[in-house]
Order: sequence, then C-alpha cells, then structure tokens
Amino acid sequence: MDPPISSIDQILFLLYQLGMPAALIAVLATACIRRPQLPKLLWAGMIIMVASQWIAIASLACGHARIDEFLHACIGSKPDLHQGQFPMPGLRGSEWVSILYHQSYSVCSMLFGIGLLLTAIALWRIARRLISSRLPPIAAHE
Amino acid sequence: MNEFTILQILHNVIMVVHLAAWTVFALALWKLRFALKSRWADAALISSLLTLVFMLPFCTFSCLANFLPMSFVNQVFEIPYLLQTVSMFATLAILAAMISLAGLIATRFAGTLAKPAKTSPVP
Repeated sequence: MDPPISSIDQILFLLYQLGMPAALIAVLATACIRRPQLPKLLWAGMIIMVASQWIAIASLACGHARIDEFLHACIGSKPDLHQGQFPMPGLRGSEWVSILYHQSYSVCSMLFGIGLLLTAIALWRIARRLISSRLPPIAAHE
Repeated sequence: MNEFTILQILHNVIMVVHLAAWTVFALALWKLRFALKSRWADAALISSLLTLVFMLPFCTFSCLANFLPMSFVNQVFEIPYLLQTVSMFATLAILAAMISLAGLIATRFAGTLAKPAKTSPVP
C-alpha cells in the first residue's frame, strides 16, 4: 500500500515537473530570440536539458495512465519498480528493457545532468574568452 | 548482477553526474561573474551554489545508503518532511538558476561571442 500523496508532494510535483520544462523552454526561447549566435556547445547543452525534461514527462505520462501513479512516479516512489514487467497489460520485455522503461525518468535525469555539464563547459569557455579578450596588452617598453 | 544492483549503480552514476555538472556550472559562473559583472550572473551563481548545498548531503547520503546500517538509513528517511523540504528547496534553487541563466543570455551575452570569421591574410 503506497502512502497517500500529500499536498507538499503535489506542490513539489508541480514545481519540478511543470516548472523545470517551462524554465528551460524560457532559456531556450530567450537564446533563440536574443542571441542566435551562441556557441554550439551551449546550444547542445540547452537542447539536451529541455529534451530530457519533456521526455521524462512524456514517458511518465505514457507509463502511468492513472494520475496517482503518475504523481507517485514523479516524486520518486515507484510502486512497480522491482516487478520486472511493464505496467501495461500484455507487454513484457527483457530485464534490461524493463529497467530502461521503469527507469526512463532516471535516464532522463542523467541526460539532464549531461546537458547541464555541456552548458557549464560552454559557459566556462565563454568566460575564458571574455577574460582573455579584456587582458591589457603587454606594454612595448617592457 | 540483478536488477536492484543495476538500479543502484545507475542511481549512483546519476548522482555523481549531477554533482559534477552543478560544480562545473558554479565554477563557470564564478569566472563569468568577473568577466561580465552582471546581476544575472550573480543570481545564477548564488542559485547554483544553493543547489549544491541542498543536493550534496542528499546525494552523498543516498549513494552511501548501501554501506550504512539499514536502521540508521530508515531513521533518516523517516524524519518527517526532511526529504520533501530538501527536495523543495533544491527544486526552487534549480529553477532560479535556470531563470537566471535565461536572464544572463538575454541581457549580457554580447554578439562578440561568435567566433570571428576566418579571413584571408593580408598580402
């Protein structure tokens, strides 16, 4: 028996599952409109972050048709985590496929981490370039 | 290797990737803060540091949970609202970091970020 979902869990769900994709879309849209000449690495990182969040929502929504299961999956309590079979009737797969299906949220979380890492590396490069372009030139008389 | 072990390894890898990503993100913003002198960069840096503050104990504990006594792990997880509070503040910090990043891109990244076009040398 799963514990009942509290209002705090629902607020968390709304904040993370709806707020994060919205914020990431805002980042991407801002970049598209205002600064289309950003480095490719930054684009890649931002697109991976946005895609991972939307894939997470889509996979959870597909795998858990009932809203209470969906909420439980979103807040980390997965009732059918170790059963080794698909929650949908009539569908069965190998252990690895089953793990990937059940853990699609975790895989998306890893994708988000990779996207964030790429974004951070791109920001680091931008900062280095900006700093080096502002360094005072070596004086000729020295 | 059973399913539970695979899930544990996957979980630990995810935690390490997230911690590394947020650390590099904070370091990059620290450097960018001096280059741009922008309030958005300050906000993003503070948000990413707050994210690290909330994520570090949680990630470390969840990674080490396999090696700790089960009674102790259960005691920690049963503290009312501990995990929810930490998750909520981490979520808020992540949201703030992403919004600050959007603000930073919108306001301060100048057109000079694009790599200069290669021109043929002057004879």
